[in-house]
Amino acid sequence: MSPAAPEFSVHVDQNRYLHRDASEIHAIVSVEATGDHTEEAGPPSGADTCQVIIVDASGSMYGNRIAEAREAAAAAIDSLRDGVHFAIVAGTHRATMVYPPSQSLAVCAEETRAQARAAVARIGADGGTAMSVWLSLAHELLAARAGAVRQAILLTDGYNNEPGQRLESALAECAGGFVCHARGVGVDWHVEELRSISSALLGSIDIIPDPAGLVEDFRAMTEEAMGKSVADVALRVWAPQGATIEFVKQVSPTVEDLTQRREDVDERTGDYPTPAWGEESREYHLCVRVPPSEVGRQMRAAWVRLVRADGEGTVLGSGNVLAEWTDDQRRATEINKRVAHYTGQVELASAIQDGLRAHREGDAAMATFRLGRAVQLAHEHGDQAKAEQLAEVVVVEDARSGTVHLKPNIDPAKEMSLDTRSSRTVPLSISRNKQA
Amino acid sequence: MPRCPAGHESTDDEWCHVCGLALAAPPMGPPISTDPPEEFAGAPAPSEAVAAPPSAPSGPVGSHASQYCPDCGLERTGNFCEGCGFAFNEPLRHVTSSQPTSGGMTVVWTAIVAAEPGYFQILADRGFLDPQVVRFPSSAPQRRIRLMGDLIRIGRRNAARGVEPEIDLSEATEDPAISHRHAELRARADGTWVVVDVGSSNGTAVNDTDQHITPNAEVALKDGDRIFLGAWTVITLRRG
Repeated sequence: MSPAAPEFSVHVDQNRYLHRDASEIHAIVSVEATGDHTEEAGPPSGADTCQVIIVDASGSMYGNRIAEAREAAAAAIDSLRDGVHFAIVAGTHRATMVYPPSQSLAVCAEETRAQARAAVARIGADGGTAMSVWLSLAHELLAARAGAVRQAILLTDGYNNEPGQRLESALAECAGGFVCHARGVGVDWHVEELRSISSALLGSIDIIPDPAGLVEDFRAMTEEAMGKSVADVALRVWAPQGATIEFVKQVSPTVEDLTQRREDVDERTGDYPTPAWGEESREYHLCVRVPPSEVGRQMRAAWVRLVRADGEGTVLGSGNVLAEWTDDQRRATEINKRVAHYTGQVELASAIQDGLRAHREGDAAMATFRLGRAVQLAHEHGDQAKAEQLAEVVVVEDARSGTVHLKPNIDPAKEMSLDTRSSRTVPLSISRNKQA
Repeated sequence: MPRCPAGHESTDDEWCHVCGLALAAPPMGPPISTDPPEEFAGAPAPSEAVAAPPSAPSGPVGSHASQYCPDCGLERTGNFCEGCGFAFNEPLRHVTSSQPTSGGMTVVWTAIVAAEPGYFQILADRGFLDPQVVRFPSSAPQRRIRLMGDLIRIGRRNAARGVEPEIDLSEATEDPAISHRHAELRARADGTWVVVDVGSSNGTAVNDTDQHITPNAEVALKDGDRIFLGAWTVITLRRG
């Protein structure tokens, strides 16, 4: 069983004022989930937790990599709580059950952990890489467990080797079934390939340049998974008649555009998926276009609720995004600070990804232009982490104006690190504009 | 069940579940500013009376009934909507439109006006201002201003002298180093904009903070260009 389900609170930050003909409303919806940590007397209220660990066992993993991957899988097994359902899968051109031997999930206990560790120690490295097959197996193992916290970790060291759209089809099939965190060890894999997995399946992505780092990373991922207690929570957004939801994007802790993942509930309401929740905060940027109204009118431009797909549609929290038409030009033209901050952060993530893509494609001019913009934004936002990562890829002449040029010899691990971490955002620090 | 102003039977007590309008008697909006009611910077003189649709009309001072059905958006022609039957509560008023008549071009440019610490820092570093004396504002939210008409004056308002710039930087960014008549944005016939420094004391720069633009010379602008003026004001031009 997982920890008790957290309590949710929803807060909306926005400028509600619109000028006469204006119609576009922006809001940042902050969702905070907090637990109360009291011992539970009755039956636990958290959901079941299910975890599948997929380890790339292709030929390229031979040697140090597979050795460290085995250690990492073992460390993950050790971090699982008793009662959690789990499985280990070896991925090659096929997907093979390592533990349990049958195509099912085992229940974590001292005995099963020991058996799993023994099985993991025997994983060899030999074969190809067919990620769609690995994901399909994870889906088989996890998707049936509705209501449970369902998570997979996918570790690879290379490029997916499958024809056509197999990976894309598998992702469409798996979306919503489970959350998948993608990890790439070494530098011979495509960031955009793994990102297509982590993005579709609402998980994280990272590079582990040195295999020795796998153990710690797997332990951290598993511990975080153990903290999740409620799955199948959707952001349900209602907009009034005649209004359009322009976009819904998660902007914290990472950028993820959810707009196209909408599932209509009725003509005015749609659900946007969110991965399982533990004690954490996430923020969303919502943009609604409303039909213009007369000065003085107040309208609910959007109604945002967190709902569980538990048959009853239990509402865990809600907030209103408002619109109010005014003649006051001052009020109407202000841009809310939080909206401005995250607009910049989203632009920063795109600038990095665009710049690195251009670099890979050999377009140095575009790469310089976009990475320069990224440097400028990182500077404006006081995003020290991004600034440092960018400095591994470009020489910064002037951060304020974004004047940079590409470094002649870029360390591929540093470049991939910048890429995988590009969608991480920093929270708004209100005092930024004050004189030091 | 409270009645929606648009006539819907709402299942929600506070906000109409169909159209979102507030169901309690709407409190009047925030106090209306005593400045002349310019809706956008540079609204042309209301003497131009052109047929109203499709954009919402704007005109003389004072509120007026919406000319479109809040339920289905159809233009209002009487007391009941011909599309959906919505009952208008207020009488239809005759309003003059003041759409800019600059041809069929409907792309409206937007100016985003902000106080930028980065620019302020550049000036301080170069010794153009003393940050202990000229203090960066503690709160200066960005403003988004749509450019309507052909001429947008940028400067500091001075009612006594009859100086009424469309972008008033004494309000928007509280910038002390802006002249009353500092610069102008002028629309070209092809829908693009140029900026002209009309004789400011401290100069104007476009994209390159190292170089002021020549006074009284037109500088063409493109989407994303940044105009630097005063101690900390940056105006970013956006197409659309």
